[in-house]
Amino acid sequence: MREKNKLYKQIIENRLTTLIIISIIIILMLSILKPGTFLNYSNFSGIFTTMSFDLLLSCGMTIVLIVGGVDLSVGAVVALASIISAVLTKRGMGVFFTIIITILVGAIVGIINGILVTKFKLAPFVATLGIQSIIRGFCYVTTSGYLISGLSPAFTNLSRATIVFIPSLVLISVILSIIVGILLKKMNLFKQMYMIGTSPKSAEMSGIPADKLKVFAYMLSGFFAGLSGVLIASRYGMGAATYGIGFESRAIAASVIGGAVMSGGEGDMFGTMFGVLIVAVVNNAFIQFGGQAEWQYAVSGIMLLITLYADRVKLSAMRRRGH
Amino acid sequence: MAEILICEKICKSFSGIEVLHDVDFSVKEGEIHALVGENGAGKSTLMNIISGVIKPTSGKIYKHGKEIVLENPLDAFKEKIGIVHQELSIADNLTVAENILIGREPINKLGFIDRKELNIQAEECLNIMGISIDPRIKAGSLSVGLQQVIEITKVISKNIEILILDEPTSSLSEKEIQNLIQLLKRIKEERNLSIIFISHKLNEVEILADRTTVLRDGYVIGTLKREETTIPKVINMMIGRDLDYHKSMLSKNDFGNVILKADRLFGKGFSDISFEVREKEILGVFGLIGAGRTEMACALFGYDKLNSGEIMLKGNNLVIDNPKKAVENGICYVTENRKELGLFLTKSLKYNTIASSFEEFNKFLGVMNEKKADIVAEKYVKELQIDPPNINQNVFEYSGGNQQKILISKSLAAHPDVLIVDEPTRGVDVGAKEMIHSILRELANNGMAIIMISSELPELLKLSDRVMIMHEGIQKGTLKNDNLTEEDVMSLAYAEG
Ligand SMILES: Nc1ncnc2c1ncn2[C@@H]1O[C@H](COP(=O)(O)OP(=O)(O)OP(=O)(O)O)[C@@H](O)[C@H]1O
Ligand SMILES: [Mg+2]
Repeated sequence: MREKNKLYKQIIENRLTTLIIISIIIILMLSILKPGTFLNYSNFSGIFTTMSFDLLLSCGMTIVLIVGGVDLSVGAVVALASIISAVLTKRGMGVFFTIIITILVGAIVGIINGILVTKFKLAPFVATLGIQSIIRGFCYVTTSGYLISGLSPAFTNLSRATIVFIPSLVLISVILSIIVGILLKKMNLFKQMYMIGTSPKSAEMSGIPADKLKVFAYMLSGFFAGLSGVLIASRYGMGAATYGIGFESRAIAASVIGGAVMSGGEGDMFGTMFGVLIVAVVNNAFIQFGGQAEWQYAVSGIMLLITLYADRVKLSAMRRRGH
Repeated sequence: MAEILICEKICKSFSGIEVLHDVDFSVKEGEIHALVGENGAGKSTLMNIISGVIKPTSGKIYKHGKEIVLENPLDAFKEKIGIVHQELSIADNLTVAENILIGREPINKLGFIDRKELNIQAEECLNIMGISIDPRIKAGSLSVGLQQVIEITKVISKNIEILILDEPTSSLSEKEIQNLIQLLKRIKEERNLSIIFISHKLNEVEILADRTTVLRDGYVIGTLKREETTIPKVINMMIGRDLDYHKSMLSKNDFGNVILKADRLFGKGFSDISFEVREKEILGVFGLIGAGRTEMACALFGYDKLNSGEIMLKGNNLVIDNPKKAVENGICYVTENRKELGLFLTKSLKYNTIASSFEEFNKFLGVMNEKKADIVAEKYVKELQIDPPNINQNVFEYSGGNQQKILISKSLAAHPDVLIVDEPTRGVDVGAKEMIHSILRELANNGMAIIMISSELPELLKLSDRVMIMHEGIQKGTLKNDNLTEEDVMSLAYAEG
């Protein structure tokens, strides 16, 4: 029996090691092939910035995937949150309250997603896609396509500051991811989420408050998207309706690479962190070789499809073992 | 009779642990060969090897004296070996015809499925089996018994010579079982088919089997000829001791207060059901499949909608609109559908055990108390003798009977006052069945009120202090169990009005 246990552990550890090795290989490859454009400060700072946003969204996405859902609205919520925080700042609101209110709005959108999925029994894809279009549309209409810039230094410093040479943006996202990673492993609440994702009906029959916890998962996803929106506005010094396009595919890809499955019940934030790294460097590789930054949208789509396919293979392998 | 299939020295290990040891097993042409053994003895594993689902670690298989190598289920079908697995694999939303001919649908000139031809062919297959079902209806709308027959039809219609049935009767009603037995006897005669039949219901084995092979802990204990086969002998070979499985287990206690009282419950599939159950009492609920027992239990438990009626728990009115509320109020339900409504197959035994009592495992600030969970899981592993006793193993790696024990532990760990068990010994071997029975009795003696739904009359009569009889959603009456006989219950079940 002990042997079996070890084997299981090995596989888990193996996935992390595999992920680390893949990341190192891609990074080495880029360093050798494109030393000039890859290994320079501005490229690295760019990678770290996108990674930070991806990381925050992936925190929420991993949790939603664990309960067997998916949240396609996060990219749009990023845009909405950037606009709200920009407007509030311009109206003279303090940084603290701006953050609180914006994150709250994100969380409320999450709750709405959750209610659509649980009470109205809409498929997660459909519900969150609908909310995505509504919010994105709302953003374009209210801003009429204009950027909201001219934000106070107090607000922009939030994500531009460095603490012991580490950009605060990176620090915030990494610390939050680690916290989420630990909570997922330790908290009773999240353990129940894994059960819900594994078998929603069995969970309900066991007396696990499945609907409540699902709503909570979507709320957390909205929370992280809101936070990410505040930080993006702070980082670029403006709010815009065009922020966050395609972010959801990257967050899903990162989570699935890290060990989550679309059918729910699996997911590991530490795996997801490496998923984010891999998505970011692969993206960067395409930009390095393709030359155009716009490649990133196509690339995240391709990566998403590949990981989802791998997800299916993984799942049918699991089923076969199950027989 | 010639031997059509011979397995020689089959061994199988899962991650280093051997579960089949040098198994020799053979099947003759045109015989029904029963394979029996305790939960986890290795029956399904051996059948999975013969049907190409998994590969043996070592050993040889011969068919008609020629060695065959089975890499996958397709190879087995080429050798004319077909299996109906322990768990049904009917697609609910496909029609009967589509299910039977799945993967070999007739194609018309344009390359589409020829529906007309499909239905004609399916009808032919069904006719050969001697059953008349409209092949155009959805399989999901059929009873489990008929679905089982459809599955067998699907396999047999592939022109096989060896048919493997892994616990085909575990979810069938008594009547459906009789029909299936007749059907198997007939097709065996008509088509000279060899059938391997796994069951925990030894009376079926006695009626049906030409020969019976007993497995224990992965070893073949022996093979009995028809005339040698008696139930006590088989049991002794299976578990290594004798077992008085008929011994009645009625309560000698005086019952306590009424704990649960249901008054005029109406819902989908049942109407006007009233009953009460007291401390220390086991209330049996008998009915044929379709009697509305499970529907009633699910509504009572808050999983399905109760249209009207009152539920009183310890004298207080209670509205139960979701299972969480039921569990919180001390009512637990052990489902008959363990795969879909009960277990979390890809999670460990431990998490399955605590799934109904997560709240009890908080340490501080909502951190999970893993140690306590380990202790509780270990406790039930020991009490129910779950094998292998590894709380971190995923549930799908357990044999069917052990999965049933894990399901029961989940409810017990929530310490209910009222326990509703629905077919509690489905797929469980005789020894374990006996154990589950005595556990239920002991729980009742310690004060629990138990409602036991079962289609097995002997089990009900052995355990229940009273038996409520339901038929087609209607309550036919409740009998006190003073030497109640099967005839008493059946005659009330079929009584007019
Ligand atoms: N995929 C698997 N991984 C690990 N162990 C397994 C796996 N499948 C079966 N086993 C183990 O092999 C042994 C035999 O299991 P098997 O399912 O063949 O029993 P069985 O005789 O069919 O029992 P039951 O009557 O309960 O269905 C058990 O100890 C079981 O735990
Ligand atoms: Mg089995």
